[in-house]
Amino acid sequence: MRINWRHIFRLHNILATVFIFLVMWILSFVHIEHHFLDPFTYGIRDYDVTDIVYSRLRNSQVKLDDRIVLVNTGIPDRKTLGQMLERIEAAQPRVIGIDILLEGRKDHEIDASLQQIFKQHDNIVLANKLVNYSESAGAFEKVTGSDTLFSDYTRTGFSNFPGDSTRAVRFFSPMEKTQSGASYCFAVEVAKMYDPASVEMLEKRHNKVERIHLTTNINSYIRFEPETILDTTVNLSEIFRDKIVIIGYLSDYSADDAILDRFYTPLNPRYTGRSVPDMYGAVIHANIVRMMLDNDYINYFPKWATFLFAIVLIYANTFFFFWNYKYFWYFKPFPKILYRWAHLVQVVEIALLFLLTAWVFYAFQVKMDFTVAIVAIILVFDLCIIYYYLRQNIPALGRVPEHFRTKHHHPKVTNPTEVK
Amino acid sequence: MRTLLFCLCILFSLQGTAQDEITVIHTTGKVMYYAPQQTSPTSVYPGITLSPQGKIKCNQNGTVKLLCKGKVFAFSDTNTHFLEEVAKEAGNTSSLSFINRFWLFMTGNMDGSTDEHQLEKHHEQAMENLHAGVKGFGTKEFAVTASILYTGKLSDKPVNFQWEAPDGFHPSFHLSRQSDDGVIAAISTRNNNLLLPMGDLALEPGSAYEWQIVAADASNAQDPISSKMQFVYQPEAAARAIATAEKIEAYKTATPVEQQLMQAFALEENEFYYDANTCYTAMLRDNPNDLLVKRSYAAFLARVDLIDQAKAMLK
Repeated sequence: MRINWRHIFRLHNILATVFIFLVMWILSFVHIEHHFLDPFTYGIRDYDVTDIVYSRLRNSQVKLDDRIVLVNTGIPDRKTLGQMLERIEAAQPRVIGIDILLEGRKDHEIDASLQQIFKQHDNIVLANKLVNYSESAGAFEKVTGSDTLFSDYTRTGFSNFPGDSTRAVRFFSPMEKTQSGASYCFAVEVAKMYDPASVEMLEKRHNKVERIHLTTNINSYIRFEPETILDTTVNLSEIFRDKIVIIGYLSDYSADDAILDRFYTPLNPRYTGRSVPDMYGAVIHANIVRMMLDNDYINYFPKWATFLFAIVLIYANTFFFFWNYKYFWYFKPFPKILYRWAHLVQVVEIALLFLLTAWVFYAFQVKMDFTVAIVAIILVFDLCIIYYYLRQNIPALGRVPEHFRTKHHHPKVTNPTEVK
Repeated sequence: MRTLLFCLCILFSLQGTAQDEITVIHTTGKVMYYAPQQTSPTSVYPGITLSPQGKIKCNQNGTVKLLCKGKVFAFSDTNTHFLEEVAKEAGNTSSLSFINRFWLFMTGNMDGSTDEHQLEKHHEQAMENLHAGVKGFGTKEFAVTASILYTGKLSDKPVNFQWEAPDGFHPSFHLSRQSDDGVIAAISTRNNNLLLPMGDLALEPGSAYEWQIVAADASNAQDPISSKMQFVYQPEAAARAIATAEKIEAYKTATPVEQQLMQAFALEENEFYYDANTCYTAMLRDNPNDLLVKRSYAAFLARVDLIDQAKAMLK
């Protein structure tokens, strides 16, 4: 079958598409005050199409990750923490990540013995946090959280997540600049100690922030309570040897428990209007570590490709509009019919885009961003009507031919007298 | 080729073994594990792997989370849990296993038979479930009443139909097919009971039947009658339900009383209320002073709307 490109590439369709993108570009500079929409926007702002994949479509089968062991500290008590660390260190894990902020100095004797543990072992990563981002310097002013009494004798990693605590945790920042130099994320420091190659892979991606691929929850890890750790009849070394141990606050999600170090995540069964934070910080760190060890990152569909897709989609929509206009304009109820058609097509196209985004994410771990395409679909029919009006009222536009001109090859007329 | 097949067999058998492994992922408090063939328990802690042939039991305030075939099971009660049942549940997507249902049933029995008040609540709840929450609107009042023991399913064993009727009333027992109202039997009696050999009545297996008590002199419309009671004739299903229960590993290791209770539960669960009652009667005859049997029977009687007999059982 021969494709007639003249029928596909029509001048007015191309001009209408350009017009739509031009209007979108102009609109992008307009900021509308929309306080009256706030209750609604707050409800859906913290929503991503892929949340439904995590929340409802992911495999419900729990897969045990036997490289990472979680340890609950309960409400942190330094003396107990010290005793627990001694027991865990005796079991020879490869890394111990302590997702607790040891702020300030308390009992001198207890602090000294805890410091001693940090000095004696070089496999501990302690959490701290970055505060006061300076826009001018492009770096955080302070690294705080854990007292220098401890942080000076061990590796540290920041446990902050990008965004604030009221929003779902979707990203982590592998490295941030501070005024005292580069600081790495807690999970990156843990992974670096366990498998340095995994961090090299992360660095090769050159991403400022990485989307967390949350595939596991608290039930995917062996989890110990303080009393079990301190129970000397329990042989910890058979469980902890050569493993990553992440220590943090990990209660059992009962209604009476204080919501400490707990965050909203896309795994929350309520993917819109989330009410109760669903995942402990230590479990999120475990997910990041797992993701790095397995090199199981979420990739993005290139921006140029999504933009190209939006152009093709809108061009196809202009075809639909002009086709309708060409054949049905003489019907009296035409405007009503066109609008009904247009709205139906808009809804179907947007729904299909949502489905496509969710499916590609589910099947290939690739995140597609169709924001431009969706906004364009919303505007396309109204802008096509405006374009049509302009075409009829601006003479220069009206003179633009329907199709590209083709070179006509006239047969060479030979002088009959030359023919002999 | 043979070597290859041998390796494949070993691989599959190993895979089968691995799939049945039960891993402890979290514990709080004391949780005990009874390994197969061992009477003394050992402590359970996260990370260890348990044999599906063993049992676990949480002490007071103890909880345990187990992972088997990608599914998480949490236990926090002080009952003994058979890990074989956990493995079976993990393997199939259906609801609770027989043993777990049985434990829930026994817990319900014990909760519902602590005293007369609890028994009444248990009865009320059962009646509410039976009438789908419709109180006082769904059923018409009749002078002649019968227990729901004779509804559900009846096997081919002889059934002693009993009812309560006012004094001086001459009842007539009518048994008919539900599909076409074809009369199977119409028997007059001077008593408030009738023993029928179900196996001799030429009933069709799997078909539904209705029985009703009418006045012997049916010409008088004022004469009291009972409601129509439906049942399905299933001559072999009761024996099958018991046979299924008997195959379960936990049944084999249970005491005779526990085995009888499991049989009664299996029958009640399969709607053989009359057979379950016969089972309880036999149990009580063999163990007249067993509190577990008495309370279980009392709870059963409350569920089949024989609340006065249930209360008498507790005294």
